[in-house]
Amino acid sequence: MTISPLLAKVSNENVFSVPEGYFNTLNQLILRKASAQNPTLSVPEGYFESLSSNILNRIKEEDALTELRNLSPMLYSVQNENVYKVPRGYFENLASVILSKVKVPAKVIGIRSRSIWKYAVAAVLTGVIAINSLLMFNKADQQVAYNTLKANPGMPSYISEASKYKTEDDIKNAVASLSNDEIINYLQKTGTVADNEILNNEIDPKDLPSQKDYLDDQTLETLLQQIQNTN
Amino acid sequence: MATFPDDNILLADFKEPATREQAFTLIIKKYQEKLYWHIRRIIVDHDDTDDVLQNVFIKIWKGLDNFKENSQLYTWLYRIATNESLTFLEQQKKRTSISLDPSESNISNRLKSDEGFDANKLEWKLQLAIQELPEKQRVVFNLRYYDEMPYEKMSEVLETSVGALKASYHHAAKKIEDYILNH
Repeated sequence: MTISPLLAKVSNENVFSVPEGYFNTLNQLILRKASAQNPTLSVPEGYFESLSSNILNRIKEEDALTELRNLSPMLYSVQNENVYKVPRGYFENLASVILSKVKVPAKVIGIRSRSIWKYAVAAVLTGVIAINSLLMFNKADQQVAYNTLKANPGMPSYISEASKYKTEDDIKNAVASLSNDEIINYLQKTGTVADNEILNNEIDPKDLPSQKDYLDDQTLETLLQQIQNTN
Repeated sequence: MATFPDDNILLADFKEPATREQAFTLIIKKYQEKLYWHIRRIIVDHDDTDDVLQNVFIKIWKGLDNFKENSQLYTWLYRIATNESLTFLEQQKKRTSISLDPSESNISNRLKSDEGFDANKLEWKLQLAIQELPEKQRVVFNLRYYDEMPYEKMSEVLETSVGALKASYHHAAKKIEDYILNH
């Protein structure tokens, strides 16, 4: 009244009109338009339903630092200096070290089915054992020992094979001619560090020598006794 | 600091043969330091920690296909790391037949034999005090004090109630405080 008597006479009436129900549908309209402009935007299912409870939970939960400050000011004041040392480059190399341990080996450990190699390694090494044991006796009896071995009708085939190796040089040359893979395969088959589970999964039982082909302790002892008796 | 894809992307990539190794490498790089320090604070020795950590990741490689995703990936990883660490300590005890009295534990001796050990420094006293705690309480303390892990997540890792974990942590903090003040 004191500033403008004229304005004071004008009534406080809103002259503008708004379509009916405008404010009731405004929020949906805006959301629809926003989605249309940014069709890639999405919200995880249930996000808005759980938002309020998540916020309240976070307010209620004391963060670790606040808890520690209230619980033990002394511990809170301890500088969190790491006293443990880590070798340089440890973390840079760790992933490659672990990956090399979990990757399936490119080479499959298996027993080849070619008969000559199936028995060749066993022949050479078993021959070494058998012949070296014979060398403990008189060297002059070596020829007798070889003939006895070869002549025995019950002799497994790979012992006959082994009888071809008459001197230590023969044995050394034969072993030298074996590839690393063949020696590794043989040692892994018979060695104490063989991974039985892998071998069991990789070996076809049909490729293995049958039980009767193995030279067991009793057979070897019988043979040695025969050789001694012959002498 | 390197950024890594979200866990759900890493898990999806792991399930695909073409991206399996790459995804596994990223998982290792993403979590190696967290898991390393979690294990190291339990086991102390670096070489033993390295062994346990490698075993953990090998188990992850073998088990990730069966991961049900009903918990977060890092919760699952922490659970494996915790179990492997506690199993290692048990096996070590059996091997060395050490006394069950924590004050004579082999780990405390290992701490003292560290070339950087200084009995007068508060940080080393803290480590000795932590090693005095029973094993599971030690894990609770480490997860809350160093990793600031929320109790709800810790409950999933250790399969223990939130209330029990809070009580254990509070008790541990008081024991550690008393140890430091008296040594």
